[in-house]
Amino acid sequence: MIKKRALAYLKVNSKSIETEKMIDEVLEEVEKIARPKIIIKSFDLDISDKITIVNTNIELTEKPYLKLLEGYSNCLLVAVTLGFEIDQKIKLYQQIDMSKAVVFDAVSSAYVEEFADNEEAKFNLETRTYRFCPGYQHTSLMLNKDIIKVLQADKKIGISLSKDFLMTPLKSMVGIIGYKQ
Amino acid sequence: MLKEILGKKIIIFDGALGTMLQEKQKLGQDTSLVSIEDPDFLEAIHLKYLEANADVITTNTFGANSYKLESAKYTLTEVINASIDVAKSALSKYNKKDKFLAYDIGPIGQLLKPFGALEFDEAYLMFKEQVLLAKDKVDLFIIETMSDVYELKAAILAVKENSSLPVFSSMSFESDERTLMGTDVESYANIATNLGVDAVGVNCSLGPKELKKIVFKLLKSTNLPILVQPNAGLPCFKDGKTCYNVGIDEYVKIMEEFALAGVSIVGGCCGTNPEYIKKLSEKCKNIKLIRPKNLVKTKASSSQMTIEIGERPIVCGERVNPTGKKLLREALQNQDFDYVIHEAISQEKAGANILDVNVGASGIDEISTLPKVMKLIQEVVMLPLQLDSANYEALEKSARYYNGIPIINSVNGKQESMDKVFPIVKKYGTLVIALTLDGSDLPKNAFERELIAEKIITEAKKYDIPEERIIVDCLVLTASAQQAEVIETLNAVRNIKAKYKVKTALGISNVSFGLPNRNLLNKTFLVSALANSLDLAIINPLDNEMMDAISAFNVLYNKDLNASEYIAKQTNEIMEKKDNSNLSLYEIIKQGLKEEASKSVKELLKTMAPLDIINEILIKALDEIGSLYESKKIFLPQLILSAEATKEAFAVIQKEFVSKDEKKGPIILVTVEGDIHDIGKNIVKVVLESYGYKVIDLGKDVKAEKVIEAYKTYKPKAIGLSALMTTTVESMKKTIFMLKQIKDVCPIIVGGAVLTSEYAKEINADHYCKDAISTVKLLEKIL
Repeated sequence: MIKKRALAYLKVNSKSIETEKMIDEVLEEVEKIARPKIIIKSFDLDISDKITIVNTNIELTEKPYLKLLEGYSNCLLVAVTLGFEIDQKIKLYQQIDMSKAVVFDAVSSAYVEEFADNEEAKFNLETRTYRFCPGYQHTSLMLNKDIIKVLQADKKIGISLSKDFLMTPLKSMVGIIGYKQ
Repeated sequence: MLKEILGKKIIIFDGALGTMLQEKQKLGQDTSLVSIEDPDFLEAIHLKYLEANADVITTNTFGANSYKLESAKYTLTEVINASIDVAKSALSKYNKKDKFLAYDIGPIGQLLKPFGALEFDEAYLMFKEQVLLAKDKVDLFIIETMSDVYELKAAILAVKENSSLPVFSSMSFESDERTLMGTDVESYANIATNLGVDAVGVNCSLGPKELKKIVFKLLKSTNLPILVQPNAGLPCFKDGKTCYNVGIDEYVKIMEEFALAGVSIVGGCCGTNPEYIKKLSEKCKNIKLIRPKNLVKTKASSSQMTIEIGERPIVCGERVNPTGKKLLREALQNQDFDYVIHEAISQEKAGANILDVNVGASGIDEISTLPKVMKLIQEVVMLPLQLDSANYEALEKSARYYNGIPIINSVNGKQESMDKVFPIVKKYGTLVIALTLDGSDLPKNAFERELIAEKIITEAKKYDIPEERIIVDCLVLTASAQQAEVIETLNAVRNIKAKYKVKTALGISNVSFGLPNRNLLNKTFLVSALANSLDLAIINPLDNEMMDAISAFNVLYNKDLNASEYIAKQTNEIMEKKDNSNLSLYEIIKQGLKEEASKSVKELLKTMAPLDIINEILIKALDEIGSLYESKKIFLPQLILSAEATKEAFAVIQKEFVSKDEKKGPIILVTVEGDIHDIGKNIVKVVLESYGYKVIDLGKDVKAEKVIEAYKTYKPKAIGLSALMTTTVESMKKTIFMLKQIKDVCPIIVGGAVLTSEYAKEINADHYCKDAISTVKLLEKIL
């Protein structure tokens, strides 16, 4: 799956043995230096004209969330990162081997998605939404701050936000998954 | 007084505040606001800790900084004052002597540059404002739960520069014994100790059992008092609440072990409560503190790595120095920092342990350039650095912004030098190279060198700079001009090492200046020097013979046990390289063979004119590559490989024949303010350069005003703006608006994942390009 995702990120839509070979090499390196960390917590949802995540100060009012979570009773809040060593490596490769940097960037994006998917799968949720990240469907990125705060993701796994709500380390994600009990 | 008992008796800190306050709160709320909204509840917790025999309680200010409280109902001042008042109220109600109040400084919550967006100075100010509010009301500062040692440095300086109270530092480690930002225990201990904290500690993230290895390492890495505040084990999440899995007895048992091993300050973090502290006090309070003293070592650190000087020969790479290096000097003068960074990277790859960084040459402003180059190198190279300048202001600025403990190169025996340099060494905890020079005349013999060394060492002690932080350089003279004195240098090195606890350094290659077969003299002198107790060899690590000489020395002097490193180096299999020597330059470019490109061009230049090579081969090859890319027969990685091979080829041609004025452009490329994604822009840069354009890269998160400034400085033929996120397209709009105020401004091109040609029109850009190739095509058309 990682390889397939990485090829998609690199916009490779036909067979390219060279690219696949680069991906294989790079994946080995990513696996070695990434320090993947994830926080997943489940919450009840209180749904009316807005959605409140119970026991937190998060209220979701944007339409895409209302549509996503309609009919669901619970949610998982997820924060995941590969750590900043990946950022460092991408920076280094941009200096000495730009081609590798590009592949490294794509592979680590694929890696963090896969890691999150695998960890989420452990919850064995039969009926669930996909992982919706703030920013999708033009939703506000400000929710990144709220979710990070609730999960204490800055303190526990080192995700931080710029003043424009961009996350660092680069290969980090924050999201919400609706599910039924 | 705290300082009277620090390190002499066990001190009991309080336990968790945060997890206790969160029991009454919703997740995500700022716990520091409880100081205003429910002071009685908070005061009751403080009192319970005091009644549990805590010697020190900490203020409820862990999240009290202007970033975290930006949109809070109350001001920072209100929150901090209230937090201190509640704690003081608890202390006065408890009304017993010898209780202390610690102001708690927690992490800001934003990552510092270069990986995040926060400037060191911004972080410093956010800590300073807390210090100023608290310093007259508390007994000490504790900076805790830090995972970034650079942020920790900002906090330590903020405390030490604005108050005279004791300061404790505490970092959080993961189970792999590194912080989230990759700092290991030894580097943390070296940095905190040298910056002058009063106690060094660890807290949070892990329970007492998981912290064992880290605590025992810390005990060996510093002689300062040690502070340990683990979590009550690892967290679990049940019924919407966080719980912790280590009970009081187990917790206290391990803490007792720590105290018996010499840890003098014990408390608790997340999941602990007054019951934990009560038992902790019962078991540990009266333990007699026995703390064996560690040998003080000479250590330079980056944020992720510490190099100890004195155990075995250490190589300091000397190549980042414009003296005698035309290309490097020109690169610095043209602000082409990529060249400098490549020099740093190649020295690391060749086995250097430390890198000297010197940017002193005419036309270069060292005060701005040295810290800039140092920071850029630190982004990609993890070796500790040696900051080399005769400009005191440049040294001070660089030492301040350096992430870790650097070496300052240098101080000498002149009073003015010592007066200017030692305060820098003291404040930033650096090591320092001490030249045995104190006038305009070079010392004549070993004895004169030893006298100057003694003078420097004695003066350093006035600043509390111990001998172990001094590295004496006894000055290498050239054998061609001062042959009889070469041996005096070696005698001085040996004698000084025998008499003092300093270490020694030499710039080896000076010895052979003006003589033939310099390599032979250099490596012979190097080995002689190592045999005479040289610790730090300042050499060119790309010189294989020198590196081999050190490798052999390590075997003969029993540093390389079982000669395992030596054997591995000597029998290293050279990978079979495909024989590409028969490929044409055109094919080499098409296949993206960077290494073969320059060799092939050099050959061709013997028979072909440079402009013909460029137009008939390079550009034609790139055009074919571009078409293959557009028709999706090859993809981005292959495009970039070809672009980089072409760049190599161009570099050879430009070096030999074409002056820099004939390069196309310049083109300015920028990732706009608020956006920190730059890989797309960097790809465009590589491809443009491969087509012979001069590119000026302003970097990422660049304010509009800076773009205007750069436009006026460089007068580009076009400007490319890149933004990845919808939120930062606003910055792009602003930048374009400001640029368009300039009469006859050059074409403005925009690109980035969220942009389209329609949107580009809306924000008044002149052109939109979806990728690097279309950018090149456009530039060829419009310029």
